[in-house]
Amino acid sequence: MTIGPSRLRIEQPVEWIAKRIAEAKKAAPVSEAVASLLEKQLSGPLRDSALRRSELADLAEKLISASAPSKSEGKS
Amino acid sequence: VRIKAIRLAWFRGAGDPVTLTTEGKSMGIYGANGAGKSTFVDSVEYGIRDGKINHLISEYSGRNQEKAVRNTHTPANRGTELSIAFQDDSELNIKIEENGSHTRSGADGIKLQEWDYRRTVLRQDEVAEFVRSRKGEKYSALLPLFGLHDLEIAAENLRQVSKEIVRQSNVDHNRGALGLIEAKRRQAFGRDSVESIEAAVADLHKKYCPGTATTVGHERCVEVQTALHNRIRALTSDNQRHLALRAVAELDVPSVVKAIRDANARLADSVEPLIAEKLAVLQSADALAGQLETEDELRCPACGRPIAVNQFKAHLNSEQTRLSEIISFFDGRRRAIGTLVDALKSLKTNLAKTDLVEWRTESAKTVLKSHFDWLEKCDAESYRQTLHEDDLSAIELHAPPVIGAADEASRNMPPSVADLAKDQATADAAKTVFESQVLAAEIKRIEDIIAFVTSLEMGVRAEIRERAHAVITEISTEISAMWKALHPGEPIENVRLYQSKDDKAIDIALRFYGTEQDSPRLTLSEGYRNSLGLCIFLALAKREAGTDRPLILDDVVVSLDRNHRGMIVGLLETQFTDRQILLFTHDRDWYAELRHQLDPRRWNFKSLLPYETPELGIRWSSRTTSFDDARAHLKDRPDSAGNDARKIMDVELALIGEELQIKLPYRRGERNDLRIWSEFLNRLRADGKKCLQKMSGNDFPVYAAGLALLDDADRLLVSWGNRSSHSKDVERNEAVKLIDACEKALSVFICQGCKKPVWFADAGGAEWVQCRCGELRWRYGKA
Repeated sequence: MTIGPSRLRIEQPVEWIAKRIAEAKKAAPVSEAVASLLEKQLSGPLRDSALRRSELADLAEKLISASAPSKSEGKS
Repeated sequence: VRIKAIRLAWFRGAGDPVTLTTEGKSMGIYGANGAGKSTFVDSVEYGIRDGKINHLISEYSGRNQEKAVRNTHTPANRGTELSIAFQDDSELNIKIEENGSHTRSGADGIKLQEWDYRRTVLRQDEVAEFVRSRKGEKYSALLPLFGLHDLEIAAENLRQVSKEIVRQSNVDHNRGALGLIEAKRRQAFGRDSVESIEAAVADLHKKYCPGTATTVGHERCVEVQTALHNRIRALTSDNQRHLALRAVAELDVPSVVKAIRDANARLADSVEPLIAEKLAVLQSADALAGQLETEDELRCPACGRPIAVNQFKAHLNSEQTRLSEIISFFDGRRRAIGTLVDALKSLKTNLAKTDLVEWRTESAKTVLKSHFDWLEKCDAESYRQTLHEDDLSAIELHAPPVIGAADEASRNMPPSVADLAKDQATADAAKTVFESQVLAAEIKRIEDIIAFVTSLEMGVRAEIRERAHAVITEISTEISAMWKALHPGEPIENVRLYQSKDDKAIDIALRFYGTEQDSPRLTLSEGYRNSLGLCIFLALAKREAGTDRPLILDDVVVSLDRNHRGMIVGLLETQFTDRQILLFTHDRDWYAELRHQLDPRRWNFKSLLPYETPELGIRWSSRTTSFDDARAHLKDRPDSAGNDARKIMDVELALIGEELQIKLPYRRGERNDLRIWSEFLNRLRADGKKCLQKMSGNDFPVYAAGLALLDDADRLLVSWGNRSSHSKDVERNEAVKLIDACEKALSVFICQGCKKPVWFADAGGAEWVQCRCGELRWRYGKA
């Protein structure tokens, strides 16, 4: 009888995050700053534990701020 | 991690301290029903679950299960304790108080509380639990094996971030404000495009601001408004009064009141049933999960109506659409109220203008006085918070007559002034449209972030699905292989886990006589389901993070036939060589087989005495065989005792015969498998005269004393053993002698020196086997 390997370690390379970010970009155009911020968050804090209310508020504020057009963009 | 010993005192069935000592080996433990096997399993569960044993949870067991965990006859001066010693010499000690509270100490490095009970212990009543469980429960059971907990957290965090962005950005309110502006735009410009509006503004700009080079629409509006304001200020007071009256006359309060009433009516139609449905949601949601598995029809948790399971998804979608419509009615009502408040405020502002003082004074002498008085007192802004039908009636009663009078009074306005009024209205409306574009862009920006975060959440969930699928595929391979090992050549095959369309649902599929089945519950017998449950438990246990932890199997082969029980031994030997297994069974025949088939270098065997009283508690037998079961009947039913002894000999002698390769004439059909003790014993006695030898000095004479013991057993079994089974006419003393003789006969094949059986090792050639020390030996094939 042959039975497959018993210990499969699940690899979690960062590439999967980049891939999912790229897919999300196709679904909704956002600034590079927003995408980059979420990519970093998804590699760490977002996966560690459920965010507290203040942390959620902070992240939301950063995302809104990162999506705002720069002053130079506004003038152009 | 290996368990070295489990020591119990007044815990469950245990009385004075009783210890299961494993020496770090796997253990086969036999005990008749109620002997106390499960008490040892309970103690491990108690340790893992920090003071809880699931099968004891009931309204009768007490807050801390104190009524069930402590021995009911614990003497006043004794305490309930359990300790589990591990191979690293650490020891977990748990002391349980009378009220069931407990303290634990030691074995911190083992982290017993982090062990996954479901992948450590399998009990008889839990064998088919996974097979029986609902799809969602299967998913939950497997979730820890996926190693995807962090992604689940990430997905939920992203969902919460989306909600927080909505809250912080005020996007819902902004959408409402934009809706109001859109309504005004339609009123002023119909379906005109922004380009048309820009062209109209350009014309006005050319007309009122000739020579200026402004090109941006919004700035042009500001310049036009300034120019118009200057021109209006230069008008005669009569014409200024005309313009102010015109501004009042343009207000359309009745249609706004009608819009609010329409929205109210739509909401009344929708909200009342919604509340009734909400009650139904609460009642039916609880039962929903269970019904999904077993019913063709269920009651929708959103509306409470009965609906076929396969239409449920579509039904849910339509319910969501309906609820969205109701929400849009609320939005529409809110917008209409906003328009009304703006109109009333505009009305009051215009009436307060100095240009209209004279008109108002004159009009107040007529029936309009009460209307002016009402408008004076009216707090328009408060209607945003509450607006009842009484308020609407009052507005309808008082505002239109004033607006109508203003319209009447402004009819004599000169055309040039009328043009100014019209152009001013156009510039005002256009300016609002241009400003709304900024608001629309802001809303779009926030919606894009939300869409991005939501899409990312979906992406993480897709990642979870894909990875879970990979793990499920691998576990399926294990299950399928184990199933094949237990059921070789049987027409139930391709047993596997699969993910349902729902994200968090897993079920088991198989091929039954060539037909694909979505669930084992459709076709498999109870025995097969249990066998499948065992395969799944073992496959999952193999994947458990701490794969060197012990496995505890408590009476898990009850519903399996002899053939499949035999296969399990092979499976444990090949697949779990490195794991410690504690195997509890009340099946005497299987226990005998285990003792013969499992590698004695890795396995020890112990047998429990039948349970007598709570005071005596759990006791070990000094023997590995199960004759103590027979002895338990001596007092009241000596015939049963003799019968048990005979049945034990049926199995034990067959196994010894197999080990020593004795030859028996073939019998046709089932009779070949249904041989009894006498055939084996006769052959062993005959062969033993040439093959069984015991060392004496440097010689190996035939073990005559041993053969004499076989003869004794044969004699007593023929007379009293058979009488026990057939006529039931056996005295206690006779049964005692019979059991002793049987036990001694079996001991002939065990070396009294090294305690190992005569077939323990090869003895320097293919023909001979011997015990470990070489004192006892048997020669194959020389009968």
